[in-house]
Amino acid sequence: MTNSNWKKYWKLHWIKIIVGLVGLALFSILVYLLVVGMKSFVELESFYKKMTLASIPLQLFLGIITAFIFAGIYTFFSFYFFYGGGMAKLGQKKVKPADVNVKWTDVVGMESVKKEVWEAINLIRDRAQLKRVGGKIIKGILMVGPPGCGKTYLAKAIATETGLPFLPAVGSEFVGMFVGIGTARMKSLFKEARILADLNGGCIIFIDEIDSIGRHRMADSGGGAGLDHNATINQLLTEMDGLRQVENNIIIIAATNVREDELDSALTRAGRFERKIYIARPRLHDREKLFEYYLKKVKYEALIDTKLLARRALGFSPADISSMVGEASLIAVRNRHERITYKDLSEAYDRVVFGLKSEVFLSDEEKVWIAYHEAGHAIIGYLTHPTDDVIKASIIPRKDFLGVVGHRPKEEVNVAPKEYWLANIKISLGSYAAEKIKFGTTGSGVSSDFEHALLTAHNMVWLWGMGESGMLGNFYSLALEDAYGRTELNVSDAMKQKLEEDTQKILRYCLKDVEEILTREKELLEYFAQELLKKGELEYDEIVEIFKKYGKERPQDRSL
Amino acid sequence: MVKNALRTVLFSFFILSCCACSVSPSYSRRDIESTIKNLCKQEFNIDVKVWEAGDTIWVYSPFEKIVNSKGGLENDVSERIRRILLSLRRVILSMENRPKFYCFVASDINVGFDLYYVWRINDLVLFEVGYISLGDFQEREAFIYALNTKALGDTEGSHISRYDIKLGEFISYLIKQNIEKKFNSENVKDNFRINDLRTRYYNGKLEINFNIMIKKYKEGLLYPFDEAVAVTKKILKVYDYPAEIKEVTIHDAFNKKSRFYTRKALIEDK
Repeated sequence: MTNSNWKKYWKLHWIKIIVGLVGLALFSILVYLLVVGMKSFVELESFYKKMTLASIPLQLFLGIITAFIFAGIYTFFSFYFFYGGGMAKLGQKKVKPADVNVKWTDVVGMESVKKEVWEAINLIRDRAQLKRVGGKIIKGILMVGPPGCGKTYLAKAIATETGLPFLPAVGSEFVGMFVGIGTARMKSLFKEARILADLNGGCIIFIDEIDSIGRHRMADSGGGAGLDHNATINQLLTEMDGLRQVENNIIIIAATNVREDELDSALTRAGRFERKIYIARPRLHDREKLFEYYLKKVKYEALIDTKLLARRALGFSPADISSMVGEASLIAVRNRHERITYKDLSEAYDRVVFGLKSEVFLSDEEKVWIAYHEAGHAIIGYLTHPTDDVIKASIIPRKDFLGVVGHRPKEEVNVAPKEYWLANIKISLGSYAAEKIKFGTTGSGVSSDFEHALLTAHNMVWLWGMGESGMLGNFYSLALEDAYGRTELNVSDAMKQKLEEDTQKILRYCLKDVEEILTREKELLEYFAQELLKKGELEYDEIVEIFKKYGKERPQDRSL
Repeated sequence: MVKNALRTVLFSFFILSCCACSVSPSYSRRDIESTIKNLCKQEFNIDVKVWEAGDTIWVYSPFEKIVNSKGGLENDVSERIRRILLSLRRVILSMENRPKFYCFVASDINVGFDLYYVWRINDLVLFEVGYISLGDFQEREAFIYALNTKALGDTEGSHISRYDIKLGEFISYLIKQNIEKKFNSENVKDNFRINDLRTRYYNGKLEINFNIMIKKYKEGLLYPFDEAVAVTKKILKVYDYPAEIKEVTIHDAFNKKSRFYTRKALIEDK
């Protein structure tokens, strides 16, 4: 080998060479010490030789015991932290179908969803038939929808109908203090599922709030959180459809409130959560059935019209309806009613929608201020909104609010035109204009109204192309997401300025209109405010009476 | 991994067993005298005289000066004595059929002064294996000193009468030594005067005679007779009430008190 070849070799392998030499030196020293030790031992007198030999078995025994103890401790902690015991175990236990006990008939409403899910249940039940045809069993079902719409409830009904063991988990359980805990817990969950599937012919895993772990994978910004998140989701992907997977009759049902595109695309692709079920808030007919279902569980007056309740509970989820009926039963007990009355339900509705009355003490001046503030909202809402009725006006403090005006449409609004949004802005600005007109100044109570108005105006311009300058597009679709999950709008500063100007123009236009209306209807404003001060709360009928007295009609009535 | 570990353990055990089987005594009883002499000479360049008398080994070393002006041993003397005793121990411990006692005699041949160190070899073994502490071992050493004009100029040790020491005799030396130590200790020596203290062992009988006067009485003072009884019992217990001591008589001449014990009574009266 030439000199240059030696140099090249050294450059490539210098670490190995040094480590090898050090290892050799250590080994030589060890051998030398061993030889010297053996020699010295041989030269010892017999008594000391015997003493040395006699102590060796005891030392060996103690060494073995110590090794066993430390091995045991190490194994225990490894198992506890990483391999399926203790910290790596999820807190929840397997739930038997009999314990779940949510029948298919208990799932009220959402007929179209039930139809889709029923098909999935039949596929799970009749695996044999599916295999004969040559089809593949569904791996995962993803349920997407707003909170309280029955995703978990539906999953329980699936478990009961299929008769398979049910392993519930929540996405946040896979987020732990140490990196690797999520992965270990995921492994532990699927390991248990495989065992149950072997014993029972199948198993259902239900992961609620899967968005905790199922969002897009990201780069780690330090600290290991990103690594842990990616590792957990990778483990889930592998368990669902990885290289080593065999057919194991495990069906994973997941539920989330976020949009499907916010989840990692590898999760939602075919072969994993291929079946997506969208669970929306119940419509009128479904709400009626829900009220009938929940009221059947309590004593109520026969005169209660569930249709009317359903109309009133526009936008309620099944959980809201259940909560409303529950609240009504408590109110009935408080009022010493034998049965739930319509009034109890009405009070319960107010609690669910507007919140509990609070104990804030208001001075007379504050009450006057709030009365005119709310009167502004109510008048503008009644006179300008194309779809919504003003159902309640109140100056009784509730939750965080000192007063409230409630408005809702008669039916669900699926497509909201520009006028709808402008009317919403005008309602929000009604309080500001009313304070200005009445007191010549404004207060701090308009902050949430401004927030709502500004957000609506912003969306009109930035998302729906309703700005005056004619700028079109959903400008948020141009947002770029980096590897760390941070988003940045890909819009120039000049364009941003134009869009902001359009937003302000909408607000100014709405405010001008509102000021004109309230200036024109000053007498009505005064009367309404005084009525509020006198009664504290005005219900729908009372509000309609006031406006009728002044010969005012709603825009939707005018169109008729 | 478990298989490998098991193989290593078994192999080591086999090797050790082989080593253990090949441990034969390093020294022979037959050549004990020459062995001790040669070892002292080779290791430390020290000349000693060695005799075997029954089950007792006698070692003699003459010195020019043993005691210094302060009444302790000269530095080089204690170092030399330490080396001789080290060699002695090495040989005795690594020999088959060990003797029962060994006695080292150091003589100041200029002054005529003898020092005797007597140990029971079994006690040495117990100390070496850690069964008894250094303090306990030192308490089991009989140390006797006496002026002896016959030691003057005796480099060969001919003035030493060498005999086979018996356990009873050894115990009697220890009892005397311990009683003396007790009444000469710093906190009581001003209160007592030992007029006479003699111990004797013959034909299975152990006699302890003493005359200890109380010079100055104080509260909680030791009672000589009781202390003598306690010391005797303690030492006999250490050696497990040897069968060769059949009777013990303790006589306090100062208080005119005597006690007689049989071996059985001593065992029962623990």
